[in-house]
This record gives sequence, C-alpha cells and structure tokens, in this order.
Amino acid sequence: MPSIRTLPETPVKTRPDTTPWTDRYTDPERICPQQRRETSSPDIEP
Amino acid sequence: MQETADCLDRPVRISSPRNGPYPGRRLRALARLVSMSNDGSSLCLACLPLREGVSRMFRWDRQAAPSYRTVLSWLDEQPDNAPARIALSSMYVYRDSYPSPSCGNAYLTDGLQDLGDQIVSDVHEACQAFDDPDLWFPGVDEGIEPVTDEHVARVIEGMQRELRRELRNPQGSRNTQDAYPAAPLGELPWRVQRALVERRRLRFSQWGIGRTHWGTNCFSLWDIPEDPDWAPNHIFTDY
Repeated sequence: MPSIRTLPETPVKTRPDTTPWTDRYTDPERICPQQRRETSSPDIEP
Repeated sequence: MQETADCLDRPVRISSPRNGPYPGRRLRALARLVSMSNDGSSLCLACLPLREGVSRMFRWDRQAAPSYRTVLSWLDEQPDNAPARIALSSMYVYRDSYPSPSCGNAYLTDGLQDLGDQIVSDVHEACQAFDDPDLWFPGVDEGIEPVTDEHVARVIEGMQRELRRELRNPQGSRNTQDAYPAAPLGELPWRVQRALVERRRLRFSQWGIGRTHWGTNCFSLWDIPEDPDWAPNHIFTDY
C-alpha cells in the first residue's frame, strides 16, 4: 500500500475580502460606442 | 454577435458593420464611413466627419456591389482632386457635440471608433490598479513628445468628465438609480495616470493624428497607416 505523502505546508496568503473594481465602478468597456469616442476627450490636445 | 474576420471582403452594406476581428487599420476606418444606398446605385459617406460642401454620394456604376476592400482600392486610384478623395482627405478629427451641446461633449468622428475603443481599453487596464496598486502598467518612453504633469492632470480630468456621463448597473442598464459610480481616475497611482496619458498620445499617433492634425481639426483617411494585419485586441460589443 503506497504511503500517503504529507503535503508540505505552504503559507497561504489570505487576501482581504476585496470587491473587484468592476463590481464597484462602471467599467468603461461597457459604455456605448458613442461614449467611447467621447472618452478620448478629443477637445484636449493628444 | 460579432462580424467574421472576412467581413470587409464582403459587399458594402446599408449600415456599418458591427465590431469584429476583421483586420486593416485604415480599412476598418473606411468601413465606418462608407455605406451603400438603398437601391445599390451609390456609395454614401457618413456626414458628420465631412466638411460642409463636400460630396457624400458617389455613383457606383459597376454591376457587382463592391466590397469594402474594393472601395478602398478604388479610392486609392482616384486623383487627389476627385470629389471622393477631397471628402475623405479633409475630415474632422472631432466634432464638438452630438447632436446638441446638451447631449454630449466633443467626440471623435466615426472613422476613429477604433481609436476611441483603444483608449478605453487602456483606461480599463489602468483601472486594474484599483485592485492592485502595484499593477505593471508601462507608459511610453519613446516615439512621443513627453507629457507634462499639467497635461496629465488636464487629460485625466477630461476623461473623468466623460466617464461620469454614462454609468451602468450590474445588469448593464444605463444611468439607472443603482448604477455603479464612475471609476475615479484621480485616485489611481500617479504613475498609472501618467502612463495612461502617454498611451493616449501614442494611440492618436498610431492613427496618424499629431499636433498639427489636432490643431487644424483635419485629417485624411490616408493619414491612418494601412496596417493591413492590424485588428484590435479587444472586440467591443456594440450596445
């Protein structure tokens, strides 16, 4: 019967319970085509 | 639903093709500008990018409806003083408001949709720094004039102004009471803000638009590099 390997203990980084930004703010990639052309703010010099 | 990759080898349609992976930076711009009349007899150009007084209808006397690629080849063969060349060689980079000042701010004209989309993709990528302040988001060291801190602040303010104008809720509905607020670009790390503005300057140059074009608010379809193999990394869904 094969021995059961003991998996090495590795430290688990516990991430804070952070809500992803796309669940907090409007994702600019979800706006309409016209608004995407406005987001470049072409009234301001490139 | 997206268009197929060979969309621009198919006949010009009454309305612009939807977004899709079809390649060609200049050809994609043309596809946003040209359509076929209802009776199939004339090519039509979108009016908003065109200067007043230029023609926007051109008879197409050949029997077979042209593909977008065929139209670009035809345009390439026209002399510089041909009406179609004149129309597409002196387009507005941006218009001030659509359709009235109360409805919107300055916007890139139709042929530069890909440019707008690319800038928005950069904004989306920069926003990942809200979750990861150590986000690797490089700016542009070569190929553009350096941007000043004042310019960074102005551009970020301008972009923020636009992001506040269309908010979406979790279901994707626009400007509802439960819509998420606009991403606060001013709260991004300064290095990310600077990199975003540098990228914006680069993107304009990738579409052939520099200081002079912006200053005169005039560009030509032929200022846009042909880049026949270029297609955007991210294909937007046109809501």
